[in-house]
Amino acid sequence: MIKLSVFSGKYIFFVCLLFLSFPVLSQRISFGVNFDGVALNYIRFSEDIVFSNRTYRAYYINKSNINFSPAMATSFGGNIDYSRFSLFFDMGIFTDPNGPVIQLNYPVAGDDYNIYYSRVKNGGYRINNVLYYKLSSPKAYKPCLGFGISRIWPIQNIEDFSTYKDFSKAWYDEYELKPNYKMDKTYNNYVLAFGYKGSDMAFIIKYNFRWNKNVQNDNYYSYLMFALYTYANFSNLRKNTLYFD
Amino acid sequence: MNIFKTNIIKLNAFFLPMIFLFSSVLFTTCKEEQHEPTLPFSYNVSVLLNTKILDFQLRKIDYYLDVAVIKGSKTMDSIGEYSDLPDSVFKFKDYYFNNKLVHFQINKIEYLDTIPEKTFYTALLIDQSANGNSYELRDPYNYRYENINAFLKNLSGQGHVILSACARNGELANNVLTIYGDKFISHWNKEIATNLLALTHQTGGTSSINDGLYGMVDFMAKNAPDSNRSVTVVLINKDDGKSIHSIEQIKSLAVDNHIRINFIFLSYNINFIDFRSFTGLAEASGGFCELGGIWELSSSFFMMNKLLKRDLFFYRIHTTLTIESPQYFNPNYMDVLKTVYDTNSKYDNYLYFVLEKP
Repeated sequence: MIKLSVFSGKYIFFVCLLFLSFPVLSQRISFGVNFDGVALNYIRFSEDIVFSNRTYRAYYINKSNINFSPAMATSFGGNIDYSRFSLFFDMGIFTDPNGPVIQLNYPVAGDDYNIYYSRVKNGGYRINNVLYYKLSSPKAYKPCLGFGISRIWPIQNIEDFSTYKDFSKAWYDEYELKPNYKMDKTYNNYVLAFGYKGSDMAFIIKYNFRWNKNVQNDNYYSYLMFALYTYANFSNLRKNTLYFD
Repeated sequence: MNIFKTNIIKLNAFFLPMIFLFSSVLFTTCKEEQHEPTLPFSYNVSVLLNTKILDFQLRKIDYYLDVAVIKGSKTMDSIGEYSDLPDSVFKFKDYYFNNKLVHFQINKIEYLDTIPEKTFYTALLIDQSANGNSYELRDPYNYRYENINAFLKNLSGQGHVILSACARNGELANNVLTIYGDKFISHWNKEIATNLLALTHQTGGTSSINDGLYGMVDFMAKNAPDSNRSVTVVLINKDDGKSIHSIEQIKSLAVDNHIRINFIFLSYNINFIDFRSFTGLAEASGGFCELGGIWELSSSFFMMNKLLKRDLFFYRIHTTLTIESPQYFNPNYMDVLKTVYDTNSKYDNYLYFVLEKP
């Protein structure tokens, strides 16, 4: 039995749009791979105090944290060029093998604090859709500005907890700060981008931030990323545009 | 086309290992089941529930003590009463007073059950003073937060709690007695846990325990239903002598209003805590007492719900105490019960008890 929704106006419109766009896309679509390297991440926790789920402790936490994070991501995707606009879409995986390091302070006697460090290694899957606008330029690599949406599925993560900032000794796979990251849901992130785009390669700086107004007291996450896009333009295949030497 | 194929091969050779590398990291980050929260220590704890005088004569006292023994554990699920202790673990110490022997004879020990209450209303009163004894000395790693927080987190609708603290000229918001909130909570919440955490550094001043305790007994009389209500005191110092209320006044108010007063003594030292008065107060009002370092009492905080509901098994220790003539007993006699679990005296429990002539 065919569901009525298949015949809905919205469904028919998208199917028609898809078929009609094939002739256009086939000339303008490119496929390739993307690399993202995360340089900085900024996390703002919504609360001052972290209540541990592993023990009965609680910690004071710095609400705002900036971390250098050598995280990476790779994805397969494509882009469609039309006039000055360029739509990039890709799907891939990311990993932050070190994770941001957050300092936690447990109050003890004498107005002192015991200092602990938590890092949450994480990785996951995401899709990105960013629309770029190429600024006028006579050069081969044209500057462009972009805005888009990134969807991230629940992030897998492991927490290390230590009294040493370098984690030379640590408790592994803990649950001290991890629940406060709230990584167990699917989120929409927003992307602001600036970069240079050529015919087969692009260098982009992206600011990816989480903004979910529907979740009260949600933490604010953002990443500053450097991205390299390489892609094969099918209309130029005979010109041998892919080089990786 | 050949060049295109060559480029695709190069592309695969470069990117596929990278993808496998990232994937391997992802596979190692699978979620695991979260374990039950733990406390750092797992000492056994003895709790004096009740003292009953059967016969008080000049040189002979027949009495029994009701003592619950909590088997030490670090997790809520594994905590419970110590049910199979031999009689030999309970020890009174004979001694000589003016060359006359004071002798304890344990006649019988029974293992009994209580008739539990359905719920409880209690006011947690924490002595925040730092004159004499201090948390800097007695609790340098702030285990009291963990313990009390464990009690609150495991409350789960079993009873009702309100938090308060007392000290004179200390760091508290209100001098002498500060009550946090005006409503009892029946489940853990961030507000009470935050107030409790803030108390860590709000220590100082002298002890206003008499006034603070009187204030909380009065608060309970006015605000808590007349159904298994109590004030549970975490005590580190004796009163500074500046309080306007006496122990007798507190006792009278508590007994008249059916309010139990429970004491968690965080010092063994009789110079810091007036064990005679406060133990007598607990016994008169029907409250319980426990004694030790805050780390030694961890397990009892897991059992606090049961203690406050009186829902636990206990040992009834029937004893006859005698003294040789011509000496005779003080009408307000105090001594110590020792619970010895093994050869390591580090794990022994001590309980002061008062035998007051009826």
